[in-house]
Amino acid sequence: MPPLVVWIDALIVGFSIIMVASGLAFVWGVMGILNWAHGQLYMVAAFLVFSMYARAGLNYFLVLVITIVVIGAVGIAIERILIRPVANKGFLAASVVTMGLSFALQGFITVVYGPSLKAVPEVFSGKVSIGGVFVSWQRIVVVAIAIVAMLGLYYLINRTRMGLAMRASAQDGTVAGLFGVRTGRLFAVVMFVGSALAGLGGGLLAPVYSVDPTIGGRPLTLALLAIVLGGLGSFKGSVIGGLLFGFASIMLAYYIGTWYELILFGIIILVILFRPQGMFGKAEARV
Amino acid sequence: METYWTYSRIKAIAVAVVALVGAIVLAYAGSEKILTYLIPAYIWAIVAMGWTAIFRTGQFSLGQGAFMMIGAYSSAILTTSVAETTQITSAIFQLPVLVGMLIAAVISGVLAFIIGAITLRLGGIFFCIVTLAFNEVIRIVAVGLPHWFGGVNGILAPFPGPFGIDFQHSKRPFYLLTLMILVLAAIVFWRLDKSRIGSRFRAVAANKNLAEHTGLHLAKYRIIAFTVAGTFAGLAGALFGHYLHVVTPTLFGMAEAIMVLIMCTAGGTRSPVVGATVGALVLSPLGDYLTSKLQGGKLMVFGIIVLLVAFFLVNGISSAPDSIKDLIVGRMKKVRA
Repeated sequence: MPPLVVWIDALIVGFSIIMVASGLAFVWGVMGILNWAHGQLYMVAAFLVFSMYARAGLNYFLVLVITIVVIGAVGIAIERILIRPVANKGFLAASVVTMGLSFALQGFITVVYGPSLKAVPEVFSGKVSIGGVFVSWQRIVVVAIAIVAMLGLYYLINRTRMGLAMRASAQDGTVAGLFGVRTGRLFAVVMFVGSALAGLGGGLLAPVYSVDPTIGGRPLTLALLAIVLGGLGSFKGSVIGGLLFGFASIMLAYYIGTWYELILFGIIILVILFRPQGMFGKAEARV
Repeated sequence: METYWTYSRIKAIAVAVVALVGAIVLAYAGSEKILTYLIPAYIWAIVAMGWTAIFRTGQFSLGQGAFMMIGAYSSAILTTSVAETTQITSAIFQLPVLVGMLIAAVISGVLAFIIGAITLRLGGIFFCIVTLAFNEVIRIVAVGLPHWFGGVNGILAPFPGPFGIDFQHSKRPFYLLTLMILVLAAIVFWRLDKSRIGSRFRAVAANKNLAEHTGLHLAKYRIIAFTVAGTFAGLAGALFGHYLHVVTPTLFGMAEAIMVLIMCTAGGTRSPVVGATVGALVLSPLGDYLTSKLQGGKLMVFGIIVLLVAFFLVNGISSAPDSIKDLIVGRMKKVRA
């Protein structure tokens, strides 16, 4: 049994993966488009927090709200300006466009802020003792907000009229449109929520980890792998897959050291070989 | 039977010959500085052709960086001779560089076959994700086995030196070697595309259900394309390693894999060879120049180029002459009407 501190660390890593993976899976599930710039939205959010909180010294929660709204608006802009014109040309065209955007965003931030590592001071100082292990409040707040955000998204998808429309257009956008779902407006909402989740993740984790222009790449890769594990297009799958993936990576790192990522990759290969729909995905349908 | 010497075939051969003569003239007329821009451009062109071949089967590889890495490391390990100084146990082969590069290409091709056989049955997004993660896997192995791969400091890749040619003091021999391999790659990918297999590639890409119902094995053709592309990516990576003289774990990765994609889409994917070459020849020197001027400038400009091409020049830079011609002809027709 690994010590408690490892379990807590696994929880943090799991939730940081979920913050990126859930938004990505949500957008992919409803719109059928993989937003490769999703990781860069996370990175831009971290830099927004760095500028407004660490540099300008505004209140952290105000900064967090501004960041979420700005990143969500950027998401809507991406959908309207970049993805919609190529949406009917299939998966590859939208991928090329969002990859170009991800390069442009990373380059832009590097040009503006420089490539060096930047530290964002902790918001919640102090530690609390859990079973003899000291955990910083910062990390507890991250996990708490992430859980609230996931519950909120679950409520939105499964308990509201708009969620019904989302599930309908995930099954078949054209038919949903014929039954009166305004897919254009719905996609804007979906992009806003999905991107805002990446913004929330970046904003919450900026004080936990350091900030530099390359931090968007790794969360995206991990999130994609977690989504494959949980089942492509399933929101539930992305959350449970992300949590499992976080736990697996920390536990394997604890027992076998640096080679853990190789084993994770092996697990993903096995999933693809024997159960490509993952844990919760259906063979063909999305969401 | 259609006629063999069609107009388009003669035109293609003429263009190729003119380009080749121009490239050889440049080797002797151009300065060393021009060659330092052109050698990487040619190497990227080789990788980009492979990516285009995969793309023309309807798949989207994000792992070409990993195969360049495999090639670079394999060749460096097979040929390096500096065991004592860096405590590397890998200097036991000490093969000639050209032999090492060929074996590296084969190793890379075999690994591409294995990865392809696993993922290309499903294709699509699974293939994207696994190839993307594969970049990271190669880096972890390279850092995790320092006795073989030299850890974060990397491993020295000796200059090639066949037949007593001096590769060390002039860039010209290396330029000509790269050019030869580029021409080889161009011929292979061109012939592949014009062959029966090439037309099946297009069938698999155009409509996979129809292709499958007419009896084509989808995964088979995707794997063929991916394996050939992986082989040439390995060869190109080995070339790059010996050109830079040192192979480190950060040499190629996710960013480089996406850069290959950007070169191909910016250059155009209508032709198996031309678009990739044009894209690499335009973007690689531009990228090297921007890197020397401004941190992050390369990424930003590349990203903007992709967006511009995607919206205003769908068939890529290599189709720009046609687009301009269409524009002018269209105007003239309008004026006449």
